[in-house]
This record gives sequence, C-alpha cells and structure tokens, in this order.
Amino acid sequence: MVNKISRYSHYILWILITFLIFIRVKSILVSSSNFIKTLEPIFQHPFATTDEKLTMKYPRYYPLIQEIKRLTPEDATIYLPIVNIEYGQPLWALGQIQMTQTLLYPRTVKKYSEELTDGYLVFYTDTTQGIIKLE
Amino acid sequence: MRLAISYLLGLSLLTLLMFGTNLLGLPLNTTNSLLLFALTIIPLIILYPHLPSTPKISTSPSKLNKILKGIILVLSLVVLLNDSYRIVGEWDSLTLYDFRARRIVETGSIAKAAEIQGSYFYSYPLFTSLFHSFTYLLGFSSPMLIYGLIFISFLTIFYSLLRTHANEFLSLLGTILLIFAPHLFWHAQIAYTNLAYATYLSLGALFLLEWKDNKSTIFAILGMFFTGTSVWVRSTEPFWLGNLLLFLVIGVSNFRFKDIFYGLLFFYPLQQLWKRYVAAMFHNVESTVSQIQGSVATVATAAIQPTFLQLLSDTIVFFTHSIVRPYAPVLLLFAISLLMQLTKRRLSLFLISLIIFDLLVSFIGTYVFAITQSYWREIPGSLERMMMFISPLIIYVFIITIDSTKKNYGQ
Repeated sequence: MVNKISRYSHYILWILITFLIFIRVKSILVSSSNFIKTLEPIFQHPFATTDEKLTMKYPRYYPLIQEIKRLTPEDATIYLPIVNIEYGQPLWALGQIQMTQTLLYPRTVKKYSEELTDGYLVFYTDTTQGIIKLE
Repeated sequence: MRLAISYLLGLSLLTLLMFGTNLLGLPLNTTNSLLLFALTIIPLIILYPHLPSTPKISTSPSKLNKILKGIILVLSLVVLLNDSYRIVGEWDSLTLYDFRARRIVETGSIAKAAEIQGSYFYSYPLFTSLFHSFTYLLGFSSPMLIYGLIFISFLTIFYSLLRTHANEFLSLLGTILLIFAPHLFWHAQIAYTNLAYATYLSLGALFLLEWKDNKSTIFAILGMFFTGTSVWVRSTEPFWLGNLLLFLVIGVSNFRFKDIFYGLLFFYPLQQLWKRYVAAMFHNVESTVSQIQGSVATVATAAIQPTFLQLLSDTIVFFTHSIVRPYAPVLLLFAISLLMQLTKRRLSLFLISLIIFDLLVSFIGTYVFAITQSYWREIPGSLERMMMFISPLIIYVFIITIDSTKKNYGQ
C-alpha cells in the first residue's frame, strides 16, 4: 500500500499542480453555471424547433425578425434605426446590419436615412418593437 | 485512432471534392452530394489499413486510469448531447459560414452564392460552410454534431500519439488537460472555424514529430495534409509556415527527400487553393513569398518611424492582454516543461522551437496588423481564439517532459 502511494505520489503532485494552474476557483464557478445553463434547454424543451431555439438565444430580437418576415414581402426594403445598443442587450443585434440582413434574407436591409422613400422602418422602445410601413 | 483520422481526412476530402466539382459545373444537390460522399469513402477504405493505430501496450488496470477515462467519456458525451440539440446561432457563424452554406444549398452553386453575398463571402475558405451544406442537403436541420465529432476525433488522436511516448496515466491526464484548455471545450459546441483550425494544425505538427521518430512516410503525408487542411479552414493565419519549416528541417537533416516530395504534394495544392480562387475572382494574384516580403518591409518601414516605440509598447500590452493572460495556465506549463528539460539537458528541440516560432509569429503578426489596420485593437477575441492550437502542442510537450522525468526517477 505504502509502495503504491509512493508510486503514485509523483503523479498526484502533478495532477494537483496542473489542475491548480488550469482551473482557478472563480473560473470553476463560472464554467459550472454556464455548463449547466447550456444543458438546461435540452431537458426543458427537448423537441424545440430551430425558430424556437433561436428565440431562446435572442429573446426579443428573433421574434421581431419573425414578425418582420411575416408582415413584409421577400423583395421589401427594411430600414434599421440608427442605434447603438450595448453588446449583450436583448436587441443588440438590431444595430448589426449584417446579422439582420442574414436573418431577413432575401429582403434588403439598410440603415435609416433621411432619404428613405419606400419600405419598412423598424422601431423599438424599452418594452416594445415593430415595423412601420413607409408610404 | 484510425477511425478518428479517417473522419478528419474524410471531412477534408469531401469538402474539397464539393468545391472542386462545383467549380467544374457539377451542381450541389442531394444526389451529387451522396455521390461525392461515396467517392470520399473509397480512398479512405483503401487507406484505412495503412493508417497509424493506437499503440496496444498492455498495462495493469488501475482505478485512477478508469476514473480519468470516465471523465473523458462523460465530457465527450456531454459535447455530443449538446451538439445534437444545438443550432448555428453565433454571430459570425450565422452571418458568414452558415449563410454561405444555405445559399449554396438554395442555388446549388458556389459562384451564385458568392454573387448573393458579395465580397464578404471570400473572407474565409469554404471548409465549414461546405459541410454545413452537406448536412442540410441530407435533410438535417443542424450541422453541429460534426463539430462535436471533430473534437472527439481530436482527443482520440491526441491521446494515441501521446500514448506512443508516455504511459497510460499521463496520456489520459494530457487528454483531460486538452479538454480543459482555453476555448476548446466550448468551441466543440459552436459553429466557428477555430476548433477545426486548431485540430488540423496542431495534429499536423504532432504527426510530423511522429514522422521524425517513426520514419514512416504516412506520418509525413498526414502531417502535411493536415497542415494544408488547416489553411483550407482558415487561410489568413500564417502558422502553417512553422509546420512547413519543421517538415523541411526534419526531412532535409535526415535525407528523406522522397517523403519531402510526397508531403509537399499533399500540402502545396491545399495551401494555394483558396488564395488562388479568391485571386481569380478578384483578378489579383500575390505570391506567398511576396506576402512575407511585404510584411518584412512593413515592419522595417515602421521601425524607422518616430511612433515605432509607442506602437511596439501598445502591441506588447495588447498581446499580453489577448494571448499571455488567457493562455497563462498553458504558458506556465510550457515554462515548467522548458525548465525541466533544461535541467535534465534533454530538450524536445523540434517541438519547443515550433512553439516559440508560433508565439513569435503571432506577436509579429499582431504588430504588422497594428501598423497596417487602424481598427487593430478591436479584435482581441479573434486573436485569442486564433491561438487555440498552441495548447495541444504545449500540453504534449509537458506530458512527455513529465514522462521522461519519471523514467529518470525509475532509473
């Protein structure tokens, strides 16, 4: 038994060193909570569709995208408000023309300008969001 | 290990075939994709018996090893479970990699998809986009499982390569460290190119090191094919250069010219592929040598500017923030390995030189970027992810260092 312990003591020492280096207490806590969070939806909504999964990921933004798709024809021009929403906020992606263009394809997505004539303007407030048809 | 190598080889071959045949006019639809899949399988079946396998070394069963195996198995299953549920949802993957894939599926043509997206389409090679397309053409709603399988193949090959040099316990420990290394576990569950890049580039280097010891041509071919595939995944980073230099130094110093020929045969076309394609699209061809010359000229010009020292110090701060700090645990392992190897006077010279070379390239690259791009400070996350490939190399050197120390104790 003593022999066995001394045989493995070298290894145990290295395990301790490497794990102490790799995983600090704070990062263990952060990763564990993130880890559990990522697994949660699998058990809560096992049969969710792609749209439902994207809604879980972008709770206010993706329903708005779906609503715009529902209300506008595929050849419509969608104007985004000039916004600077902080990263991580629910509607952050609204300020990212590339992302919105991707999800609204084949519609054309442009930033709001004074010269807009025909199309749809996206608006949002703290609690609501939607689109206005420009005549 | 053979299955894992075949999987990674197959992914590369399949996407290359999809790309090549589509450029020649074959539309990408379900039938053609299945045909190309069958065409990919044939060379793999022929090659399979010649691929290296996990060494079968009999050891006495140990509880500790069983626990480590259990941890690896559970974490691998978690990745697979998560990937079988997840969708492509991250910003870059939605706007570029997956968008390209969906347009390719819709139009059946890479050229038409490029027309729809414009110049952004050419930012990165099509490796991940084409396997996304493949899964959509087969009727799957998400390609995420492919990423999980890349990760598991990576772990399997890494373990097997370690096992040829270290005992079972240390090889398992190294594999667990790889799972916990910065970013890798998380990237097995998102649709970015960084995991595939790290996998192909670092395994390419490890195969080349195996070729040095083993002398079998298959390791030279695998090493260079994997390195070439890393350029097919992400073409902007110049880290393939380290693997190529390693390959040439080992080959020339051991007079293995036939292997050098085969290695280059499998590397060069892949290294050139995307660059040539983009150049043809934009009618602008710049050779690799002139790109390197351009970078050297940029640094040399900057060195005589009055702002040189200020920019250099800014780059050091940025580099420390984006590379040294996030990779501190891994870099610490590297420092320990180096110290132990120096005291024992038994240096893994090739691998250590490669790691130092890659770190230097990343620093110089950041500096060149700082000189040439005004927005250079806005990409710390990108630089951090780009360096994911360094962890496997460092963990590998760390484990073989401990193993050689243990052998010394034994003696």
